[in-house]
Amino acid sequence: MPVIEASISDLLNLIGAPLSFDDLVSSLERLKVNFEGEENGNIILEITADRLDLVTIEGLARAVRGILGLEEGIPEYETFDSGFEVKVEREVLPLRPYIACGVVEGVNLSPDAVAELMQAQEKIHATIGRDRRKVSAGLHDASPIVPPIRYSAERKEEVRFVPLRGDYEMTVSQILSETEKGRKYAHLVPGDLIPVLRDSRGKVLSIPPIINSDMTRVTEETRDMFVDVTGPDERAVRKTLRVLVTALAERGGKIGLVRVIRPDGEAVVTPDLRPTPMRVGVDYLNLVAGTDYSGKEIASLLRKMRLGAEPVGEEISVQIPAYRDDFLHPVDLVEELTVAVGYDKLRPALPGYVDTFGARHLRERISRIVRELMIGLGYQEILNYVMTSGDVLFRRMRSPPREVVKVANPVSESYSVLRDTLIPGIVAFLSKNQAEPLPHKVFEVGDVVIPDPAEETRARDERRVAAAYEDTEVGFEDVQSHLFSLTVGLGIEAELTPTDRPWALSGRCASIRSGGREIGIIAEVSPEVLEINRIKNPVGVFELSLEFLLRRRGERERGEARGVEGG
Amino acid sequence: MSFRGGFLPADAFSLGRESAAALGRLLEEKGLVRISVKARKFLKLTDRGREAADSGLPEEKLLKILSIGEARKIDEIRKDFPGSGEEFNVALGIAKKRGWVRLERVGSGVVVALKEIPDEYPLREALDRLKGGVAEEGDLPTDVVRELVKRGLVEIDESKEVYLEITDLGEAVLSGRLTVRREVARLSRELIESGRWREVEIKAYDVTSMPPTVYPGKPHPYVEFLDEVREILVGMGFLEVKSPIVEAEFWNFDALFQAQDHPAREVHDSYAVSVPAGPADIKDLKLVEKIKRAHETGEGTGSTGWGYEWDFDIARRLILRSQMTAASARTLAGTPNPPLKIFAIDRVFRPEALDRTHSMEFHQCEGVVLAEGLNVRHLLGYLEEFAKRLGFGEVMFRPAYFPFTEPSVEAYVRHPRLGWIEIAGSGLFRPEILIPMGYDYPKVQALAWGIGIGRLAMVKLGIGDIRQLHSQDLAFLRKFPVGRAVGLAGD
Repeated sequence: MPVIEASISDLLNLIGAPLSFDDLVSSLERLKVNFEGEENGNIILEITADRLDLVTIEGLARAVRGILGLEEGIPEYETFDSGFEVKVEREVLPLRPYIACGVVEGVNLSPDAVAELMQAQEKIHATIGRDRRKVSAGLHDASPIVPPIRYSAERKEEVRFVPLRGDYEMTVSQILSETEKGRKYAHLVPGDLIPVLRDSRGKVLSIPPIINSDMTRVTEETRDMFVDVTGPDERAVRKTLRVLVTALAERGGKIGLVRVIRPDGEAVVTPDLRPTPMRVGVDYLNLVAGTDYSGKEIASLLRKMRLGAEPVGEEISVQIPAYRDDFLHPVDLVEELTVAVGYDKLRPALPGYVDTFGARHLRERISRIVRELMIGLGYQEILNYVMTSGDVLFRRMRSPPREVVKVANPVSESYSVLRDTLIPGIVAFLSKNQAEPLPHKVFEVGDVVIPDPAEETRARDERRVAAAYEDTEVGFEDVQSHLFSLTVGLGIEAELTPTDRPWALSGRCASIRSGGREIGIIAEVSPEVLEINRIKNPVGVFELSLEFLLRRRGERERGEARGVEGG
Repeated sequence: MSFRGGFLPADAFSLGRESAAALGRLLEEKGLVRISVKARKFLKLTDRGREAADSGLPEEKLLKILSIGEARKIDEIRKDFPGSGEEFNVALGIAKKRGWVRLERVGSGVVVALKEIPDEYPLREALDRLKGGVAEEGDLPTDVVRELVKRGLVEIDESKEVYLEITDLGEAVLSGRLTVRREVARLSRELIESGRWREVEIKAYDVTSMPPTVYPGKPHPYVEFLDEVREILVGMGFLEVKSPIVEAEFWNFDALFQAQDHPAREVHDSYAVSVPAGPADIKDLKLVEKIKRAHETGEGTGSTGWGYEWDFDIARRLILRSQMTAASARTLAGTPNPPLKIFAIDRVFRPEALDRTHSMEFHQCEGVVLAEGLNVRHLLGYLEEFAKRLGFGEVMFRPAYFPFTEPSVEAYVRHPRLGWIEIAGSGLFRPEILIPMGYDYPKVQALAWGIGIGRLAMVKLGIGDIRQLHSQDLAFLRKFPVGRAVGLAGD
């Protein structure tokens, strides 16, 4: 979620009412803006991802004015025909097909405002823009621009201009390889062509989504602005333009409409500032919010959220302002209502009639019994991560690699695969605790993940218990007696049959079997593995799968079970 | 062996140190003697110190080859110096520091002039004294000792001397005024069976002394805390459900109406699985079709949808479960009959570097109440009840944004030390989720909440570092008061 920094004085100016700092913070928090801190006269705020309009300071002020009752209902913005035309050439369609533009005349920009506009642009690029891939916006001083404007694709070598805050003319190829922004976004414009906006004199305004020309740089003196928004997603492009031009209009500007002419000759006028109508039942809003308001009361509450709202019979006729795009369903009006009411005013209640019966999952119930038995046998419980490394699973167990679940984007090699057995993690634990007084008796009950093509997600979780016993003189028989205490406690008849593991001491390794199935492994750890893990004493280990207990219990219960038992 | 009326070093017995000490302790336990210990530090010449004592310190050697009033080039003196170059440098440094010589730059070289020959040199006196035998630390000036030790000429030997002093009781026993009965340390089976317990004195213990440490089997505090949360939720009528760790994006995101280009689905916010390769084998194709339509046009849900082309291949990609809401989605997709209350407590995975406050793997506790006639106030009611049962008195709610709930609410509780802390993100499941799954919306509503239970555990257990929830330190686990998991001690 975007974090923005706003000058407190600029924000209060835009709100237009004397507010104490605490009142400012609490109004913002009511609007689901998170207060993160205050620094050098600036307030730091976290905006939620659904409210693009609040990444502009002007938009924040607009919303605060509503919640404080200083100004209600849908904001009206004066528009006029700017006479600007943008002609879209066919060649640019494969590169960056959609463009929407607007003009704002007569804005008053303070030095803070220029910085805040740049910040809003950055945040828009980072969020809805998906780092300029989906949307990029350019803010221009309109005065040097002579319309009509052409949006076309040109060869990178042939486009030359002075980039924003640059000192001399460069070709696009130079910009992409030599400037900071160019290098950062060059991957968005592969190939020989680049989208270009030029005015009627052939002056370059910008090369979306990389950089504007220095000619149209916005300063405190700028009064008239031209805004271009481009991208591959028309809905996002047009929404971004509406957010930007209405924010600028909050600084006293008038919004000028621009004719965008598509290659097929179709003309679209942007920005389209018509509100979106939505109808919602009074009953529905009260039902979901748990309130009991009349249509009139609801309409007045919604107007505080800067919506247009009038009661019409049993319904509310709502007008959603053009800068908001977070209304997909009438349910989205419920939140407008609850926010307007305030969560401190909504009384918590319990329904009283929801009769349900609780239970732990069987896997947890069995785990609990196993844990209690292991603790009774004197073992300390430990809890390792499911994520681990090939080093822990294989190299330090002197075992050849097996197929285990692997992530494509690990942050660290140490956590790049999922364990398919608990024993290596326990061995690693012992290795880190060699200085601690003996004996070391530890166990873990936890999930391992086994690749399994037959499963829906090609892997299955298995609940297991594993234990290790380290002391100056510990042998197979010590852990063996603990294993049998555990199986007796669980009511399992277990038997051991000799087997081998690369990490086990040869001749002291057995497969644990019950009812003809292998359910676990028990062994003394080989001296090679002890040495590589710098463990100084002999170690006995066992690991037992608990899944068959679950299945057995499940089979017994089938037929009598009612309701759901997930998983 | 007689030590009536005085101190004796323990060594004075012909018993040997070990047995004398053991015997002494035994007598002390019986109150017959008092034991006192004196620590002493002895100074001793090292090999180098002995050599310096015999043939002179480097600075003394230097003085010998200089004469008053004569200034000589440093290189010449170095040649005459009867020792190594390193020793010469040491000697010159000390002589200069003590003001015996003056160094002057003349032309391209340096000359050394002797200013005075000291009458007394404390280091020499100390060495001479030590040559005669050992001295105690206090016998020589502290600064001299420090310099000698620093220069490796003298070492300090520490030794303890143990003294026994007879007590009044001891005197009484010795004088025969008291008789001695046989005392036993332990009541034994043999004593009980034979009846000889009547004839012996069973020794009184110092019951206030600390016992030896034992390391019992113990539950892990975090596991215990998670079980406590389960206990609370079961007590509130919630049924526990599970879902797999390797998950399809479909259940983790799509079924929850998270658009396929939602930022949370980008590569830095969830782990993509490369082995096994996938795709997931999602069987309920009717549900898939309904969810596709909900995303694209909202058809059938009263929503506009997200307005993009939904891609089944993306939905079938495998990831590591990044939110426990996946378990709720799977359970609700089975269209059980309301009312239903479910919860899931398990691990979720996000590509984060492990540090004090971040982890690539952490637990979430997710809950859903599905029933007719539920509303926002009921959501607040369940959250308040849950917080109360966890031991928090004051709860506060704030609006929030989550892609799958509307309205969305964050719950905060007041902690006596930390102030307001966020405990849950929550909301009512959107119609675009419930309607494709076959529920009669808006009559049936689903209240949902997710708790970063690890952070809450840290608060309750008094842990400041998230890595300690999976501590690799056996000493930490052995010492940890597990009772904190149920609110005994701690926060």
